[in-house]
Amino acid sequence: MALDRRESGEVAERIDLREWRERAQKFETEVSKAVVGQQRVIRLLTIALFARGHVLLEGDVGVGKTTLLRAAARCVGGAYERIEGTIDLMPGDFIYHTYLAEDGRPRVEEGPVLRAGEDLAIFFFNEINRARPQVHSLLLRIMAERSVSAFNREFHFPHLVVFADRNRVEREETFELPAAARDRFLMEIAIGLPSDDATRRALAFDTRYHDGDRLIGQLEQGILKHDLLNDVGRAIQNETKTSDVLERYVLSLWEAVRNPKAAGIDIDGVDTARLVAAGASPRGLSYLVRAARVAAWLDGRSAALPEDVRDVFFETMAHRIFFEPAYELRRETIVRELIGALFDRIPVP
Amino acid sequence: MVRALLAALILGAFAQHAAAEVRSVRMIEPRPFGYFLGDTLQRTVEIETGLEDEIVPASLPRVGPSNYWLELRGIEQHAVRRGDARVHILKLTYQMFYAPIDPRKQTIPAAEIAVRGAGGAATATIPAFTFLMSPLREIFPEKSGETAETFLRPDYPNGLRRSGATRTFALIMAALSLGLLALLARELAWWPFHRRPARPFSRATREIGRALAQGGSEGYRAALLALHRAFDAAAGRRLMAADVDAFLGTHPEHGDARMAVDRFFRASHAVFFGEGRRSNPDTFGAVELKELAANLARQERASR
Repeated sequence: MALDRRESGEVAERIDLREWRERAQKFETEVSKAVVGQQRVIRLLTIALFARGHVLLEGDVGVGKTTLLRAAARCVGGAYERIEGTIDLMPGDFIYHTYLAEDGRPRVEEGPVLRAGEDLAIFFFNEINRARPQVHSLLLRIMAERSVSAFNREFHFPHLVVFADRNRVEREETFELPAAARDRFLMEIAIGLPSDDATRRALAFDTRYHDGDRLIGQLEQGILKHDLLNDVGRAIQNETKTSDVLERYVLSLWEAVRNPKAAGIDIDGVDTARLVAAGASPRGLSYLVRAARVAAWLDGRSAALPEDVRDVFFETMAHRIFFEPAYELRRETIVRELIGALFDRIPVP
Repeated sequence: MVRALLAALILGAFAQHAAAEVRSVRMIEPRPFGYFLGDTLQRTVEIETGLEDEIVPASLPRVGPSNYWLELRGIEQHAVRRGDARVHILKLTYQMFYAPIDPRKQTIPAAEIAVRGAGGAATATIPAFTFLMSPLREIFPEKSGETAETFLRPDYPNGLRRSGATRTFALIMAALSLGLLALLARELAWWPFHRRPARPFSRATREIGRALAQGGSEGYRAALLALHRAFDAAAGRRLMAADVDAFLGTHPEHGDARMAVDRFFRASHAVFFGEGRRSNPDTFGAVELKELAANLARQERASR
């Protein structure tokens, strides 16, 4: 542990966090050139990148989920691979690429996950809920351990971040992500339509947005050096303070999520004593704190505030709260009310 | 009478031509006999004048004691039109306080009333009225064997009435009214149904005073917390620094305190979340904290 601290301390000396903050801001402006009217989503994505967490985007069809992730991948730099979720996708398809060579003999080569080796920075899983549970379980390992076994050896991807998206229009031929898989995502970000008219009009009529490939091709590549992000992330976590009061605050939020009734939270038409089947996991809590620290750092502060926790809470925690089956169907509204009530009730400081 | 003459003279001086016209004075008198101590009598005077003529109010007999035994209780006055004339009707009510020992004539003296017209004045005379007053009692009751006990008439007995039904009715009605009043109060949110608007800042001001009296950083922290709780109560939810704008939007009465509120939240961040140092120039001292709380409490009281 002591060694760890010293190591990270050295790293922190090497890394100029102020310069990195400027870089993060540049990243945000660059990505927002391709995806307009989604400032908050871009901010959350930036937080996730610096908190070194995986992100699941969720939204309607055609709101720019894929464009956003491709733009982010380009601006992060490093190798980028993507795979489309289909019902017949098998775990092997991630790892192996099988084909008949010119000489007519079958060949097995490295698949999308392995192709770029350690350099893999972003793995983009499109339409993740169309893939089967077998695939999800492989993804679990890649996400949690950043490694995979293939060709009789271990492959490591130290800089990997998984982006996934799923649309919530169709339910047929899809597989709901298991709780364990959802828990491994740092954030689940819902992406909606831009709210202001000007942006909507631009999206519909501005020819810039008609050709996604060209739009992304114009973005500056590799603004965030993907192989340094781990160190930067560590430095941010070490440099950004959380006071005792904030820690107590986060713990009481956690306690209230697990037992809303005891915290005095009432939701219309819901028996809050029997609402939550499984509350946020400890991993979720640590993700929350990580994200809050990054949010504080992005805002140019040296200590995390309750506001930072609140800003990232929904995206980092909502998908980790599991309700009793009776309430799962109304999940969207209940979880929003629950979290709203949480911040209305828990005293701060 | 002198006043009436004076009024008539003054009016006459102003308008000498086309003088006012008193065509007749008719008296409707009550019976001229059979009055006892304390009785009242009413005389009605009908003065017929020209159409445009009016009675000079100052010339009317003065209401109140006229002499030691006579009092004018009141004058009712109105006028009606009759043909080409105007009839002023005066009703004079007198009360007598004379205690005669034998039947005796008394006289209400004559009075003069000034009438003014468009271009002059005239005088109407109310004649004297003579009537007979009689004693109430014998002069020497002892002679007929009366004593003090028999001489005084007994008191009029109080009538006894059954009050049970009335009382029950009154009680029912009272209960009903109370019930309706309660319903009305509830509907209109009167006391005690209107919850007295909580005054979180007023309470916080007291708590802050107590907390700061303890002194030390613990007291200061407790004082900050007290004000935080007051903000929470006023906003109806937990208020963070980022919500101050929204809060002041919904509570415009505290708009003036914006600067101090911002400084308070910065100070609280410094103390509780380790943002910055307590010793920077932005320090929000105990005095300032007290002032802010008192100020907010004042604005809160003024707004409700």
